Amino acid sequence: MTTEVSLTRALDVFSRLERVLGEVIVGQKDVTRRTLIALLCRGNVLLEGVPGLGKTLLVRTLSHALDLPFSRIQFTPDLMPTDIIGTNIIRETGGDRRFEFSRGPLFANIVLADEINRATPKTQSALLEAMEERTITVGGTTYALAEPFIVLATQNPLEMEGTYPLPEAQLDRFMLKITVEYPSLGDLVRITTLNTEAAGIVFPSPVATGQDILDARSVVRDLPIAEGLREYVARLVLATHPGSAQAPTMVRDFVQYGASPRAAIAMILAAKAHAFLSGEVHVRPSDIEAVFLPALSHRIILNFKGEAEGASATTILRDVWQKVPVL
Amino acid sequence: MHSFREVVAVLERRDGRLRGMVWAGWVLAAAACLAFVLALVFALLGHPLPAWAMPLLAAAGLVAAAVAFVLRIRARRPRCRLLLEVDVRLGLDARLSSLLEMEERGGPKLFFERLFRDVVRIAPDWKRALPIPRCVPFLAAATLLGTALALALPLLSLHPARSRDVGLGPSSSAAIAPAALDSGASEARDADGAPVLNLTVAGSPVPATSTAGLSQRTLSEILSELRPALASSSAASVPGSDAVTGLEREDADAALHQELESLQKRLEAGGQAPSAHEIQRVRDAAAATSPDLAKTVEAAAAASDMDALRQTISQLLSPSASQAAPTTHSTRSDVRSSSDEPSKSADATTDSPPPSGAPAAGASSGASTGTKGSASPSAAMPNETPIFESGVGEVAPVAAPLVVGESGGLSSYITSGVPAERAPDSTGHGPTWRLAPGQVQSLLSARDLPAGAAEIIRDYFQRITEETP
Repeated sequence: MTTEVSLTRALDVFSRLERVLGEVIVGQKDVTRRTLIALLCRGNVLLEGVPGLGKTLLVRTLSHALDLPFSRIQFTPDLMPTDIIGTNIIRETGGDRRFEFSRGPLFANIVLADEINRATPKTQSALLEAMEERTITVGGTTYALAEPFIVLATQNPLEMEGTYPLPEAQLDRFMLKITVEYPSLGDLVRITTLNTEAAGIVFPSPVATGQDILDARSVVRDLPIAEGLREYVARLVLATHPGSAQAPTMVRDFVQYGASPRAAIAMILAAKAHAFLSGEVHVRPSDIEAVFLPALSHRIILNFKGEAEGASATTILRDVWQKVPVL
Repeated sequence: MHSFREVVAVLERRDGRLRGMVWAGWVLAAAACLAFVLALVFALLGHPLPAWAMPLLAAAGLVAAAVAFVLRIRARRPRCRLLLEVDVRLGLDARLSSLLEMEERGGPKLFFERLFRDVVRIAPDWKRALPIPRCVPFLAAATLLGTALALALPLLSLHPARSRDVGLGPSSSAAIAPAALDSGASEARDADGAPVLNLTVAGSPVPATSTAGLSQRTLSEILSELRPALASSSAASVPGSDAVTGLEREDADAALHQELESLQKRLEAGGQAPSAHEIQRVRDAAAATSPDLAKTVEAAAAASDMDALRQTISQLLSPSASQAAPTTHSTRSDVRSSSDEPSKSADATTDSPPPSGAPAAGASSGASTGTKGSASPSAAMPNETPIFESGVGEVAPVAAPLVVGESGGLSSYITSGVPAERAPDSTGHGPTWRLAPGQVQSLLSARDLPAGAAEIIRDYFQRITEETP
């Protein structure tokens, strides 16, 4: 049960974490916060943005700030599943040969899956078990991953040639999809200043441990959310389904499949984490609004008409948000 | 300082009341719409709306509203929704509903205390989330008053119709609709304390303006309806009544006529003066017809002037006199002159003009006019009841038929049979005639009229009582 001490400590840890991330990742406050939300909720993050916006830098900075094992996997078309999860190899010790599991880069606390859409679906699917169950099964043996575990994948929305779009099952396992936008003029100037000075980018010293993250997760889960808001989240998710009575016209016209129950869970947890990071001890409607798009935008599958007319999931979800009232 | 449970309890009570009031309002509005539609349908069909319909609807609407109010209070909505609504209204960012969540499902006490502190800090006057409008008591009072009026007014308007069955007495006549008394007619009370209507005669500065809603039947039409009934009534009049009416009076007239004819023949033949026995017989016959006539005959006989006696007898035997004789009684008291009007002796009857403001019946026949004048002394007695006492077959026709309630023609209503009396001129606008509807019943009782005729008369007085401005 959360106490005054644990609450204060958790808040302190994450405020420091947010601050140090903001010192390196300039002009991406929302991205930083949403990444921390996923970290607090035991979720995974899909970072989408054109190259050069600091996606990889964000993950590296986070790993430095958390003092946790970090591994980076550059996804390419010839990348094999064993390359990321590991494989059994024959080891000979004193004339005795036996299979020994050689752990892949997934065995880390923070995993950066860079340009995940460049790998084949087979390799992408190798992440599924790790991302959801936090385990890896090789040769009939299941290995547990260390907590906290988080996969931060990046993908480039522009270069689609030679890429393999993530399957829906894979997408659904990402708690949040964070779109990294271009920084503003002032932020861009600051970025250039930071990266062109003599010292260059100085990664932060660790400000939190793995245990701090786990403690903060416990505090976040204790945060109450009103039953009315929980029902509100459910109505929002149901409204993304074209067959639902609450679905707006745009959803009925352009959506083939709506968000899953996992999306509702992700929204509530993310709203709790957002409230926590805002210093609140309960979930507010504004917290739900803050995580509505990141939690649902990658879970809406457009139909042919939607694709043909260039409808985007974000536009449709904004319409859903306007059409579904809190009360 | 309230606890969270107290806050929730108060909010639930207020919410129940508000929703109950809303429901009650809807039910009342539905009842009003139903009443409107009902009235519209009846108006379109051309049927009058039954008098009991509106009070019934009003009572039913009120009861249904009360039931809806109670049911809505009892059927409380989920607390989570109520508190979330309060959160939204007060800008509490779901604090109250989160508190409820923590109270019901458990949670860190730290969060609970902090949230409740925030609630009290942000919205110290949390009751305003569910405000019971200040106008609600007034609206409720207006609703009740309106319903009470809807109940009372039709009942009041029903009163005369109801009183037809139970009889009109002084107490019942006091319940005449105030609207009828206020609109141009001033209220007064007769000697019995019964209210009477003051009607200003034609030419009075006080106009009788409103004719809306009055029956468009003319007075002559009403009288024409009355005549056959009255004729049959006179034929079937009950012997032994106080007034000399019907067949009895016809017999008495015939006997008097016979006595006078024989006496006249003897006087014209140069005979002697009538003996005391003959005079006694003529006087008895005249007395059977009319006490005044008996006095006239006795005075003529006492004069011992043969010419005068002959002249008197010829006058009495003349057709106009024979018609006027009964009319003397009929008009004697139907319209009572004001008490200050000088009484006239029986000797001056033939030449006396009708009293000022006399009813139109007086102008209808020149022959009867003089005779009416002879009747006025007795009619002018202040304590005498202004009921039309004599024969019922003498209702004089109206000279100028007027629509009931027509402005300026109210004097035409003061015809034979109308229980009216001249009121003291308090306004200075001229002579005023008071109509005493409460005496209609006693009039009808005294007349022992057949049911049909009584009904027509009663209906006539009811109309002019309710709708006379």
